[in-house]
Amino acid sequence: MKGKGSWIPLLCVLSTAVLANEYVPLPGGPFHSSLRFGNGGDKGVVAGYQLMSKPVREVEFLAFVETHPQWRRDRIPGLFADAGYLSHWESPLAPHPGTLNFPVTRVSWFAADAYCRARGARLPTWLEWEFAAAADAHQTDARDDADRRRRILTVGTPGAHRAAGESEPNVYGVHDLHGLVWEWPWDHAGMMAAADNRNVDTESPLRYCGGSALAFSDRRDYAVIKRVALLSALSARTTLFNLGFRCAKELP
Amino acid sequence: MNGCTTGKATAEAPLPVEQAQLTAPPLVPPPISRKGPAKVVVDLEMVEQEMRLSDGVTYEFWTFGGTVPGSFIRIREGDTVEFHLKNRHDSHVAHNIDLHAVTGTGGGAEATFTLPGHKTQFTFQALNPGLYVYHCAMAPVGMHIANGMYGLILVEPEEGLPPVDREYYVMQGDFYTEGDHGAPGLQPFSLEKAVDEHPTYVVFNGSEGALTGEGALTANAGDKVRLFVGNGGPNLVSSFHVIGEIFDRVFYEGGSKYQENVQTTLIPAGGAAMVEFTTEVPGNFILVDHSIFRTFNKGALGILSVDGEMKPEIYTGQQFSGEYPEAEGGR
Ligand SMILES: [Cu+2]
Repeated sequence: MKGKGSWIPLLCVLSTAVLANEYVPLPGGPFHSSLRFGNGGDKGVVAGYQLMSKPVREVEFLAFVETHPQWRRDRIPGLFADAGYLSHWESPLAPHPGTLNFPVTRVSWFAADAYCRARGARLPTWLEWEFAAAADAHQTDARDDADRRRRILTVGTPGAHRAAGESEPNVYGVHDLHGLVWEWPWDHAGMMAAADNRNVDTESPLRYCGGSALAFSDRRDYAVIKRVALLSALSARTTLFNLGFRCAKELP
Repeated sequence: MNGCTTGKATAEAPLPVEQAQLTAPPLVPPPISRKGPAKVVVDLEMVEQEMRLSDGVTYEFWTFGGTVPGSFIRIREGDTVEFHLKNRHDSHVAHNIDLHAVTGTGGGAEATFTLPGHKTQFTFQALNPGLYVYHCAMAPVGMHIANGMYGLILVEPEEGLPPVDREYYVMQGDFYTEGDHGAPGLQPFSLEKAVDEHPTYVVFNGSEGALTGEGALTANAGDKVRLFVGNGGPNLVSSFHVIGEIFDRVFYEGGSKYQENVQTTLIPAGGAAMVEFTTEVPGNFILVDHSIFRTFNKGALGILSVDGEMKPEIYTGQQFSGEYPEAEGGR
Protein backbone atom coordinates (compact mmCIF):
# COMPACT_ATOMS: atom_id res chain seq x y z
CA MET A 1 0.00 0.00 0.00
CA LYS A 2 2.74 2.36 0.88
CA GLY A 3 5.06 1.15 -1.89
CA LYS A 4 6.88 3.73 -3.88
CA GLY A 5 5.09 4.67 -7.05
CA SER A 6 6.88 5.31 -10.28
CA TRP A 7 8.92 8.43 -9.88
CA ILE A 8 8.07 10.63 -12.77
CA PRO A 9 10.97 13.01 -13.32
CA LEU A 10 9.59 16.50 -13.04
CA LEU A 11 10.63 18.72 -15.87
CA CYS A 12 10.90 21.73 -13.75
CA VAL A 13 9.20 24.66 -15.36
CA LEU A 14 10.56 27.79 -13.83
CA SER A 15 7.53 29.90 -13.39
CA THR A 16 6.67 32.77 -11.18
CA ALA A 17 2.95 32.18 -11.64
CA VAL A 18 0.93 32.67 -8.48
CA LEU A 19 -0.05 29.06 -8.56
CA ALA A 20 3.45 27.70 -8.29
CA ASN A 21 4.12 25.78 -5.12
CA GLU A 22 7.86 25.52 -5.23
CA TYR A 23 10.11 23.06 -3.57
CA VAL A 24 12.87 24.44 -1.43
CA PRO A 25 16.01 22.52 -0.49
CA LEU A 26 16.70 21.60 3.12
CA PRO A 27 20.24 20.52 3.91
CA GLY A 28 19.42 18.04 6.66
CA GLY A 29 21.89 17.38 9.45
CA PRO A 30 22.03 16.12 13.03
CA PHE A 31 18.63 16.51 14.64
CA HIS A 32 17.07 15.74 18.01
CA SER A 33 13.45 14.80 17.57
CA SER A 34 11.01 15.83 20.29
CA LEU A 35 9.57 12.40 19.80
CA ARG A 36 11.28 9.49 21.48
CA PHE A 37 11.98 6.65 19.12
CA GLY A 38 12.83 3.27 20.59
CA ASN A 39 15.71 2.82 18.20
CA GLY A 40 17.45 6.01 19.25
CA GLY A 41 16.31 7.74 16.07
CA ASP A 42 15.51 10.83 18.08
CA LYS A 43 19.20 11.69 18.03
CA GLY A 44 19.76 10.86 14.43
CA VAL A 45 20.71 12.63 11.27
CA VAL A 46 18.19 13.85 8.74
CA ALA A 47 19.34 13.48 5.15
CA GLY A 48 18.93 16.46 2.85
CA TYR A 49 15.61 16.73 1.00
CA GLN A 50 13.28 19.16 -0.72
CA LEU A 51 9.96 20.30 0.69
CA MET A 52 7.06 22.25 -0.76
CA SER A 53 7.21 25.81 0.47
CA LYS A 54 3.45 25.79 1.16
CA PRO A 55 0.86 23.17 1.87
CA VAL A 56 -0.93 21.95 -1.25
CA ARG A 57 -3.80 24.31 -2.03
CA GLU A 58 -7.32 23.59 -3.15
CA VAL A 59 -6.63 24.92 -6.63
CA GLU A 60 -3.71 22.51 -6.98
CA PHE A 61 -5.69 19.60 -5.69
CA LEU A 62 -8.51 20.46 -8.08
CA ALA A 63 -6.08 20.16 -10.99
CA PHE A 64 -5.11 16.75 -9.66
CA VAL A 65 -8.64 15.36 -9.39
CA GLU A 66 -9.43 16.74 -12.84
CA THR A 67 -6.62 14.69 -14.33
CA HIS A 68 -6.97 11.75 -11.91
CA PRO A 69 -10.74 11.30 -11.72
CA GLN A 70 -10.47 8.19 -9.58
CA TRP A 71 -9.67 10.60 -6.73
CA ARG A 72 -12.85 12.66 -7.18
CA ARG A 73 -15.02 12.54 -4.12
CA ASP A 74 -17.84 10.89 -6.05
CA ARG A 75 -15.59 8.15 -7.42
CA ILE A 76 -13.10 7.39 -4.67
CA PRO A 77 -13.61 3.95 -3.08
CA GLY A 78 -14.55 4.05 0.60
CA LEU A 79 -11.40 2.10 1.32
CA PHE A 80 -9.30 5.14 0.43
CA ALA A 81 -11.19 7.92 2.18
CA ASP A 82 -13.97 8.37 4.70
CA ALA A 83 -17.21 10.19 3.98
CA GLY A 84 -15.74 13.59 4.79
CA TYR A 85 -13.38 13.49 1.78
CA LEU A 86 -13.56 16.90 0.04
CA SER A 87 -17.08 17.20 1.42
CA HIS A 88 -16.66 20.95 1.82
CA TRP A 89 -16.42 21.45 -1.94
CA GLU A 90 -19.49 22.69 -3.74
CA SER A 91 -19.33 19.79 -6.16
CA PRO A 92 -16.76 17.10 -7.01
CA LEU A 93 -14.86 19.54 -9.24
CA ALA A 94 -15.67 22.82 -7.55
CA PRO A 95 -14.01 24.12 -4.41
CA HIS A 96 -15.42 27.37 -3.06
CA PRO A 97 -14.10 30.14 -5.29
CA GLY A 98 -13.08 32.13 -2.25
CA THR A 99 -10.80 29.46 -0.83
CA LEU A 100 -8.84 28.32 -3.87
CA ASN A 101 -5.58 29.37 -2.27
CA PHE A 102 -6.38 27.88 1.11
CA PRO A 103 -4.65 24.64 1.93
CA VAL A 104 -6.68 21.67 0.77
CA THR A 105 -8.13 19.77 3.73
CA ARG A 106 -10.44 16.79 4.15
CA VAL A 107 -8.01 14.63 2.21
CA SER A 108 -7.03 11.12 3.29
CA TRP A 109 -3.47 9.84 3.51
CA PHE A 110 -4.13 7.75 0.43
CA ALA A 111 -5.18 10.81 -1.56
CA ALA A 112 -2.29 12.90 -0.30
CA ASP A 113 0.12 10.10 -1.12
CA ALA A 114 -1.37 9.73 -4.62
CA TYR A 115 -1.13 13.45 -5.22
CA CYS A 116 2.55 13.59 -4.31
CA ARG A 117 3.36 10.49 -6.34
CA ALA A 118 1.57 11.95 -9.34
CA ARG A 119 3.86 14.93 -8.98
CA GLY A 120 7.00 12.80 -8.81
CA ALA A 121 7.28 13.34 -5.08
CA ARG A 122 6.22 11.75 -1.81
CA LEU A 123 4.92 12.76 1.58
CA PRO A 124 7.63 13.93 4.01
CA THR A 125 8.46 11.67 6.91
CA TRP A 126 7.61 12.94 10.38
CA LEU A 127 11.29 13.60 11.00
CA GLU A 128 11.58 15.64 7.81
CA TRP A 129 8.50 17.61 8.76
CA GLU A 130 9.79 18.18 12.27
CA PHE A 131 13.23 19.20 10.99
CA ALA A 132 11.70 21.88 8.78
CA ALA A 133 9.27 22.98 11.49
CA ALA A 134 12.04 23.50 14.03
CA ALA A 135 13.26 26.54 12.11
CA ASP A 136 12.02 30.07 12.39
CA ALA A 137 12.81 33.08 10.22
CA HIS A 138 16.26 33.44 11.77
CA GLN A 139 17.61 30.10 12.89
CA THR A 140 17.43 26.50 11.83
CA ASP A 141 16.50 25.22 15.27
CA ALA A 142 14.45 27.75 17.20
CA ARG A 143 12.74 25.25 19.45
CA ASP A 144 14.33 26.62 22.62
CA ASP A 145 12.91 30.08 22.02
CA ALA A 146 10.31 30.36 24.77
CA ASP A 147 8.32 33.11 23.08
CA ARG A 148 8.09 31.22 19.85
CA ARG A 149 7.13 28.06 21.68
CA ARG A 150 4.35 29.93 23.41
CA ARG A 151 3.15 31.43 20.15
CA ILE A 152 3.09 28.12 18.34
CA LEU A 153 1.12 26.47 21.09
CA THR A 154 -1.33 29.34 21.21
CA VAL A 155 -2.05 29.66 17.51
CA GLY A 156 -2.73 25.95 17.49
CA THR A 157 -4.01 24.77 14.19
CA PRO A 158 -7.53 26.06 13.87
CA GLY A 159 -7.75 25.13 10.23
CA ALA A 160 -7.17 27.02 7.03
CA HIS A 161 -8.80 30.32 7.72
CA ARG A 162 -6.38 32.02 5.41
CA ALA A 163 -4.52 31.38 2.20
CA ALA A 164 -1.38 29.30 2.25
CA GLY A 165 1.90 31.18 2.11
CA GLU A 166 0.78 34.36 3.85
CA SER A 167 2.85 33.74 6.95
CA GLU A 168 6.52 34.62 7.20
CA PRO A 169 8.73 31.88 5.72
CA ASN A 170 11.36 30.18 7.85
CA VAL A 171 15.08 30.27 7.04
CA TYR A 172 14.60 27.60 4.40
CA GLY A 173 11.75 29.50 2.75
CA VAL A 174 9.03 27.17 4.06
CA HIS A 175 5.68 28.69 5.09
CA ASP A 176 2.83 27.63 7.34
CA LEU A 177 4.33 24.70 9.19
CA HIS A 178 2.61 26.07 12.28
CA GLY A 179 -0.72 27.72 12.75
CA LEU A 180 -2.56 26.77 9.59
CA VAL A 181 -3.41 23.08 9.26
CA TRP A 182 -2.16 19.74 10.52
CA GLU A 183 -0.19 17.93 7.82
CA TRP A 184 0.00 14.27 6.88
CA PRO A 185 3.43 12.72 7.38
CA TRP A 186 4.38 9.67 5.33
CA ASP A 187 4.76 7.53 8.43
CA HIS A 188 1.85 8.69 10.61
CA ALA A 189 0.86 5.14 11.42
CA GLY A 190 4.29 4.14 12.64
CA MET A 191 5.05 7.25 14.64
CA MET A 192 4.53 5.67 18.00
CA ALA A 193 5.35 2.12 17.05
CA ALA A 194 8.92 2.12 18.29
CA ALA A 195 7.98 3.58 21.62
CA ASP A 196 5.16 1.06 21.89
CA ASN A 197 7.44 -1.87 21.35
CA ARG A 198 9.97 -0.72 23.84
CA ASN A 199 7.46 -0.08 26.56
CA VAL A 200 5.45 -3.26 26.59
CA ASP A 201 3.66 -2.17 29.71
CA THR A 202 2.56 1.09 28.15
CA GLU A 203 1.16 -0.31 25.00
CA SER A 204 -0.49 2.86 23.77
CA PRO A 205 1.45 5.63 25.41
CA LEU A 206 -0.56 8.44 23.89
CA ARG A 207 -3.94 7.08 24.71
CA TYR A 208 -4.04 7.77 28.36
CA CYS A 209 -2.46 9.81 31.05
CA GLY A 210 0.36 7.96 32.60
CA GLY A 211 2.18 6.61 29.62
CA SER A 212 2.20 9.61 27.37
CA ALA A 213 5.12 11.33 29.05
CA LEU A 214 7.30 8.40 28.07
CA ALA A 215 6.85 9.03 24.39
CA PHE A 216 8.53 12.41 24.21
CA SER A 217 12.13 13.36 24.63
CA ASP A 218 11.14 16.99 25.11
CA ARG A 219 8.18 17.00 27.46
CA ARG A 220 7.73 20.75 27.26
CA ASP A 221 7.27 20.91 23.53
CA TYR A 222 3.49 20.85 23.82
CA ALA A 223 2.90 22.00 20.26
CA VAL A 224 4.62 18.84 19.03
CA ILE A 225 2.91 16.67 21.63
CA LYS A 226 -0.50 17.98 20.59
CA ARG A 227 0.28 17.35 16.95
CA VAL A 228 1.65 13.86 17.44
CA ALA A 229 -1.29 12.87 19.62
CA LEU A 230 -3.58 13.76 16.76
CA LEU A 231 -1.50 12.28 13.96
CA SER A 232 -1.04 8.98 15.71
CA ALA A 233 -4.82 8.60 15.93
CA LEU A 234 -5.34 8.85 12.19
CA SER A 235 -6.04 5.96 9.94
CA ALA A 236 -4.98 6.32 6.32
CA ARG A 237 -8.56 6.95 5.16
CA THR A 238 -9.30 9.61 7.78
CA THR A 239 -10.14 13.12 6.67
CA LEU A 240 -10.38 16.18 8.90
CA PHE A 241 -11.39 19.76 8.25
CA ASN A 242 -8.01 20.93 9.49
CA LEU A 243 -5.72 18.27 8.05
CA GLY A 244 -3.82 18.90 4.81
CA PHE A 245 -0.42 17.99 3.45
CA ARG A 246 2.59 19.02 1.44
CA CYS A 247 5.01 16.93 -0.57
CA ALA A 248 8.73 16.26 -0.34
CA LYS A 249 11.33 14.75 -2.59
CA GLU A 250 15.01 13.96 -2.70
CA LEU A 251 17.56 16.63 -3.45
CA PRO A 252 18.33 16.83 -7.18
CA MET B 1 -37.49 5.11 27.07
CA ASN B 2 -39.31 2.00 28.13
CA GLY B 3 -37.58 -1.20 28.91
CA CYS B 4 -39.61 -3.50 26.74
CA THR B 5 -38.09 -6.90 26.44
CA THR B 6 -40.05 -9.27 24.30
CA GLY B 7 -38.37 -12.46 25.35
CA LYS B 8 -37.28 -13.01 21.76
CA ALA B 9 -34.09 -11.03 22.20
CA THR B 10 -32.18 -13.77 23.88
CA ALA B 11 -28.75 -12.55 22.79
CA GLU B 12 -29.22 -9.25 24.60
CA ALA B 13 -29.10 -9.03 28.35
CA PRO B 14 -32.69 -8.43 29.43
CA LEU B 15 -31.97 -5.04 30.91
CA PRO B 16 -34.28 -2.10 30.52
CA VAL B 17 -32.66 0.52 28.31
CA GLU B 18 -32.71 4.18 29.10
CA GLN B 19 -31.04 7.34 27.88
CA ALA B 20 -29.03 9.10 30.55
CA GLN B 21 -30.29 12.55 31.35
CA LEU B 22 -27.26 14.83 31.58
CA THR B 23 -27.23 18.20 33.28
CA ALA B 24 -25.08 21.30 33.06
CA PRO B 25 -23.59 22.57 36.34
CA PRO B 26 -24.72 23.46 38.96
CA LEU B 27 -27.70 21.18 38.29
CA VAL B 28 -27.82 17.48 39.00
CA PRO B 29 -30.09 14.88 37.34
CA PRO B 30 -32.91 13.62 39.59
CA PRO B 31 -32.28 10.64 41.87
CA ILE B 32 -32.67 7.23 40.31
CA SER B 33 -35.92 5.57 41.32
CA ARG B 34 -35.25 2.24 39.62
CA LYS B 35 -34.86 -0.73 41.95
CA GLY B 36 -32.76 -2.77 39.52
CA PRO B 37 -29.95 -2.31 37.02
CA ALA B 38 -30.47 -0.93 33.54
CA LYS B 39 -28.55 -0.41 30.38
CA VAL B 40 -27.93 3.32 30.34
CA VAL B 41 -26.93 5.08 27.14
CA VAL B 42 -24.77 8.16 27.64
CA ASP B 43 -24.29 10.59 24.75
CA LEU B 44 -21.62 13.16 25.37
CA GLU B 45 -20.17 15.65 22.91
CA MET B 46 -16.77 17.29 23.29
CA VAL B 47 -16.74 20.93 22.31
CA GLU B 48 -13.91 23.46 22.10
CA GLN B 49 -15.22 26.98 22.52
CA GLU B 50 -14.37 30.41 23.78
CA MET B 51 -16.26 31.25 26.96
CA ARG B 52 -16.09 33.67 29.84
CA LEU B 53 -13.41 33.04 32.47
CA SER B 54 -13.89 36.28 34.36
CA ASP B 55 -15.34 39.72 33.72
CA GLY B 56 -13.88 40.89 30.44
CA VAL B 57 -11.75 37.76 30.21
CA THR B 58 -12.36 34.81 27.90
CA TYR B 59 -10.58 31.52 27.36
CA GLU B 60 -10.65 28.82 24.71
CA PHE B 61 -12.15 26.04 26.84
CA TRP B 62 -12.20 22.40 25.85
CA THR B 63 -15.33 20.81 27.29
CA PHE B 64 -17.48 17.76 27.78
CA GLY B 65 -20.94 18.92 26.75
CA GLY B 66 -20.13 22.60 26.30
CA THR B 67 -19.70 23.48 29.98
CA VAL B 68 -16.94 23.50 32.58
CA PRO B 69 -17.18 21.25 34.45
CA GLY B 70 -18.75 18.86 31.95
CA SER B 71 -22.23 17.38 32.04
CA PHE B 72 -23.16 15.56 35.26
CA ILE B 73 -23.80 11.86 34.71
CA ARG B 74 -25.93 9.90 37.18
CA ILE B 75 -26.18 6.13 37.11
CA ARG B 76 -26.78 3.28 39.56
CA GLU B 77 -24.47 0.60 40.89
CA GLY B 78 -24.73 -2.45 38.63
CA ASP B 79 -25.84 -0.47 35.59
CA THR B 80 -24.32 -1.27 32.24
CA VAL B 81 -23.35 1.97 30.59
CA GLU B 82 -23.08 2.25 26.83
CA PHE B 83 -20.96 5.33 26.38
CA HIS B 84 -21.09 7.30 23.15
CA LEU B 85 -18.45 9.99 22.85
CA LYS B 86 -18.51 12.54 20.04
CA ASN B 87 -15.87 15.08 19.15
CA ARG B 88 -17.45 18.03 17.40
CA HIS B 89 -16.41 18.70 13.82
CA ASP B 90 -14.76 22.01 14.59
CA SER B 91 -12.55 20.64 17.35
CA HIS B 92 -8.93 20.99 16.39
CA VAL B 93 -7.50 18.05 18.34
CA ALA B 94 -8.47 14.53 19.35
CA HIS B 95 -9.97 13.89 22.79
CA ASN B 96 -11.00 10.90 24.88
CA ILE B 97 -12.50 10.17 28.29
CA ASP B 98 -11.11 8.50 31.39
CA LEU B 99 -13.91 7.90 33.88
CA HIS B 100 -12.69 7.06 37.35
CA ALA B 101 -15.92 5.06 37.75
CA VAL B 102 -14.73 2.56 35.16
CA THR B 103 -12.89 -0.66 35.93
CA GLY B 104 -10.84 -1.29 32.80
CA THR B 105 -7.82 -0.11 30.87
CA GLY B 106 -7.44 3.64 30.92
CA GLY B 107 -10.90 4.06 32.46
CA GLY B 108 -12.26 4.07 28.92
CA ALA B 109 -9.56 6.32 27.52
CA GLU B 110 -8.01 3.71 25.26
CA ALA B 111 -11.44 2.94 23.82
CA THR B 112 -12.40 6.53 23.12
CA PHE B 113 -9.53 8.08 21.18
CA THR B 114 -11.82 10.38 19.19
CA LEU B 115 -10.77 12.56 16.27
CA PRO B 116 -12.61 15.76 15.37
CA GLY B 117 -15.85 14.88 13.61
CA HIS B 118 -15.71 11.31 14.87
CA LYS B 119 -17.48 9.29 17.55
CA THR B 120 -16.47 6.30 19.62
CA GLN B 121 -18.30 3.89 21.86
CA PHE B 122 -17.55 1.50 24.69
CA THR B 123 -19.53 -0.22 27.41
CA PHE B 124 -18.73 -0.70 31.08
CA GLN B 125 -20.47 -2.00 34.13
CA ALA B 126 -20.55 0.29 37.16
CA LEU B 127 -19.17 -2.03 39.80
CA ASN B 128 -18.46 0.46 42.61
CA PRO B 129 -20.81 3.08 43.95
CA GLY B 130 -19.39 6.53 44.60
CA LEU B 131 -18.80 9.99 43.17
CA TYR B 132 -16.14 9.94 40.50
CA VAL B 133 -14.25 12.39 38.36
CA TYR B 134 -14.04 11.92 34.63
CA HIS B 135 -11.56 13.77 32.44
CA CYS B 136 -9.89 13.81 29.07
CA ALA B 137 -6.64 11.87 29.00
CA MET B 138 -5.27 12.72 25.57
CA ALA B 139 -1.66 13.78 25.39
CA PRO B 140 -0.69 16.32 26.55
CA VAL B 141 -3.12 15.39 29.29
CA GLY B 142 -2.34 18.32 31.59
CA MET B 143 -3.32 20.76 28.90
CA HIS B 144 -6.60 19.01 28.18
CA ILE B 145 -7.53 19.09 31.87
CA ALA B 146 -6.27 22.65 32.33
CA ASN B 147 -8.55 23.69 29.48
CA GLY B 148 -11.59 22.37 31.34
CA MET B 149 -12.02 18.75 30.26
CA TYR B 150 -13.40 17.22 33.45
CA GLY B 151 -16.69 16.50 35.18
CA LEU B 152 -18.42 14.20 37.64
CA ILE B 153 -20.21 10.88 37.36
CA LEU B 154 -22.26 9.66 40.30
CA VAL B 155 -22.80 5.94 40.75
CA GLU B 156 -25.63 5.68 43.25
CA PRO B 157 -25.46 2.73 45.61
CA GLU B 158 -28.13 0.07 45.05
CA GLU B 159 -30.16 1.36 47.97
CA GLY B 160 -29.96 4.92 46.63
CA LEU B 161 -28.95 8.06 48.49
CA PRO B 162 -31.11 9.39 51.32
CA PRO B 163 -33.51 12.00 49.98
CA VAL B 164 -32.59 15.66 50.40
CA ASP B 165 -34.23 18.93 49.41
CA ARG B 166 -31.47 20.29 47.16
CA GLU B 167 -28.62 18.80 45.21
CA TYR B 168 -25.97 20.83 43.44
CA TYR B 169 -22.90 20.19 41.32
CA VAL B 170 -19.79 22.22 42.13
CA MET B 171 -16.34 21.59 40.71
CA GLN B 172 -13.13 23.45 41.30
CA GLY B 173 -10.47 23.96 38.67
CA ASP B 174 -7.23 25.91 38.29
CA PHE B 175 -6.52 27.89 35.12
CA TYR B 176 -3.28 29.19 33.68
CA THR B 177 -3.32 32.23 31.43
CA GLU B 178 -0.57 34.25 29.80
CA GLY B 179 -1.94 37.48 31.22
CA ASP B 180 -2.23 38.25 34.92
CA HIS B 181 -5.45 37.73 36.83
CA GLY B 182 -7.94 40.17 35.36
CA ALA B 183 -5.95 40.95 32.20
CA PRO B 184 -8.74 41.47 29.66
CA GLY B 185 -9.48 39.73 26.39
CA LEU B 186 -8.99 36.21 25.14
CA GLN B 187 -6.26 34.74 27.31
CA PRO B 188 -4.05 31.97 25.96
CA PHE B 189 -3.02 28.97 28.04
CA SER B 190 0.33 29.43 29.78
CA LEU B 191 2.34 26.25 29.75
CA GLU B 192 5.01 27.75 32.00
CA LYS B 193 2.54 28.64 34.75
CA ALA B 194 0.89 25.23 34.45
CA VAL B 195 4.15 23.36 34.76
CA ASP B 196 5.17 25.56 37.68
CA GLU B 197 1.72 25.08 39.25
CA HIS B 198 1.10 28.81 39.56
CA PRO B 199 -2.50 29.30 38.49
CA THR B 200 -3.88 32.65 37.43
CA TYR B 201 -7.42 31.60 38.30
CA VAL B 202 -8.84 29.11 40.76
CA VAL B 203 -12.59 28.94 40.28
CA PHE B 204 -15.74 26.94 40.87
CA ASN B 205 -17.70 25.83 37.83
CA GLY B 206 -15.42 27.16 35.16
CA SER B 207 -15.41 30.90 35.70
CA GLU B 208 -14.95 33.54 38.31
CA GLY B 209 -18.40 34.40 39.64
CA ALA B 210 -20.14 31.35 38.15
CA LEU B 211 -21.80 30.78 41.53
CA THR B 212 -22.47 34.37 42.53
CA GLY B 213 -25.16 36.89 41.62
CA GLU B 214 -27.64 35.22 39.26
CA GLY B 215 -25.62 32.04 39.48
CA ALA B 216 -25.73 31.69 43.26
CA LEU B 217 -27.01 28.40 44.61
CA THR B 218 -30.28 28.77 46.48
CA ALA B 219 -32.02 27.00 49.33
CA ASN B 220 -34.58 27.67 52.04
CA ALA B 221 -33.78 27.64 55.71
CA GLY B 222 -34.34 24.13 56.98
CA ASP B 223 -33.45 22.45 53.66
CA LYS B 224 -31.24 19.44 53.56
CA VAL B 225 -28.58 20.21 50.97
CA ARG B 226 -26.23 17.82 49.24
CA LEU B 227 -23.30 19.16 47.27
CA PHE B 228 -21.47 16.96 44.81
CA VAL B 229 -18.08 18.60 44.91
CA GLY B 230 -15.30 17.70 42.52
CA ASN B 231 -11.85 18.98 41.85
CA GLY B 232 -10.64 18.83 38.27
CA GLY B 233 -7.27 20.33 39.11
CA PRO B 234 -5.11 19.90 37.09
CA ASN B 235 -2.72 20.80 39.90
CA LEU B 236 -4.24 22.12 43.09
CA VAL B 237 -5.77 20.26 45.99
CA SER B 238 -8.86 22.01 47.38
CA SER B 239 -9.57 22.78 51.03
CA PHE B 240 -13.30 22.98 50.49
CA HIS B 241 -15.25 24.93 53.08
CA VAL B 242 -18.60 26.69 53.32
CA ILE B 243 -18.38 29.75 55.52
CA GLY B 244 -21.05 29.66 58.21
CA GLU B 245 -21.98 26.02 57.76
CA ILE B 246 -20.80 22.80 59.29
CA PHE B 247 -21.03 19.73 57.09
CA ASP B 248 -23.20 17.22 58.92
CA ARG B 249 -21.74 14.48 56.77
CA VAL B 250 -18.86 14.31 54.33
CA PHE B 251 -18.50 11.27 52.14
CA TYR B 252 -14.81 12.03 51.84
CA GLU B 253 -13.02 11.18 48.62
CA GLY B 254 -16.41 10.41 47.11
CA GLY B 255 -16.48 7.01 48.82
CA SER B 256 -18.96 5.08 50.94
CA LYS B 257 -17.87 6.11 54.43
CA TYR B 258 -18.71 9.41 55.96
CA GLN B 259 -17.23 11.66 58.58
CA GLU B 260 -19.58 13.82 60.66
CA ASN B 261 -19.37 17.44 61.75
CA VAL B 262 -16.69 18.59 59.37
CA GLN B 263 -15.56 22.19 58.85
CA THR B 264 -13.24 21.81 55.84
CA THR B 265 -12.69 18.79 53.65
CA LEU B 266 -9.73 18.10 51.41
CA ILE B 267 -10.56 17.28 47.81
CA PRO B 268 -7.66 15.96 45.77
CA ALA B 269 -7.11 16.91 42.15
CA GLY B 270 -8.98 14.23 40.26
CA GLY B 271 -11.13 13.51 43.32
CA ALA B 272 -14.50 14.37 44.76
CA ALA B 273 -16.59 14.48 47.93
CA MET B 274 -20.28 14.52 48.78
CA VAL B 275 -21.10 16.97 51.53
CA GLU B 276 -24.45 17.20 53.28
CA PHE B 277 -25.77 19.77 55.67
CA THR B 278 -29.01 21.35 56.80
CA THR B 279 -29.40 25.07 56.34
CA GLU B 280 -30.69 26.27 59.69
CA VAL B 281 -30.75 30.00 59.18
CA PRO B 282 -31.02 32.44 56.26
CA GLY B 283 -28.06 34.27 54.81
CA ASN B 284 -25.37 34.10 52.20
CA PHE B 285 -23.05 31.18 52.80
CA ILE B 286 -19.78 31.41 50.94
CA LEU B 287 -18.18 28.42 49.25
CA VAL B 288 -14.41 28.76 49.32
CA ASP B 289 -11.15 26.98 48.90
CA HIS B 290 -9.78 27.69 52.37
CA SER B 291 -6.33 28.00 50.89
CA ILE B 292 -7.73 31.43 51.13
CA PHE B 293 -5.61 33.55 48.80
CA ARG B 294 -7.24 31.54 46.05
CA THR B 295 -10.59 32.86 47.16
CA PHE B 296 -9.59 36.45 47.63
CA ASN B 297 -7.23 36.80 44.67
CA LYS B 298 -7.94 34.03 42.22
CA GLY B 299 -11.69 33.57 42.15
CA ALA B 300 -12.48 30.47 44.26
CA LEU B 301 -15.72 31.82 45.66
CA GLY B 302 -19.35 30.79 45.35
CA ILE B 303 -22.51 31.69 47.20
CA LEU B 304 -25.30 29.61 48.64
CA SER B 305 -28.13 32.01 49.25
CA VAL B 306 -30.56 30.78 51.90
CA ASP B 307 -34.00 32.32 52.34
CA GLY B 308 -36.12 32.05 55.44
CA GLU B 309 -36.98 33.23 58.89
CA MET B 310 -34.23 34.35 61.25
CA LYS B 311 -33.69 32.01 64.17
CA PRO B 312 -32.00 34.08 66.85
CA GLU B 313 -31.70 31.06 69.11
CA ILE B 314 -29.24 29.67 66.56
CA TYR B 315 -27.68 32.86 65.26
CA THR B 316 -28.55 36.37 66.23
CA GLY B 317 -26.60 38.46 63.81
CA GLN B 318 -24.84 41.43 65.27
CA GLN B 319 -26.06 42.40 68.73
CA PHE B 320 -23.75 45.27 69.45
CA SER B 321 -21.20 47.43 67.73
CA GLY B 322 -19.51 50.39 69.41
CA GLU B 323 -16.40 51.71 71.05
CA TYR B 324 -15.14 50.58 74.36
CA PRO B 325 -13.21 52.90 76.66
CA GLU B 326 -9.47 52.40 76.55
CA ALA B 327 -9.27 52.13 80.31
CA GLU B 328 -11.88 49.41 80.44
CA GLY B 329 -9.24 46.78 79.90
CA GLY B 330 -7.67 47.85 83.21
CA ARG B 331 -4.12 47.52 82.06
CU1 LIG C 1 -9.17 16.49 25.46
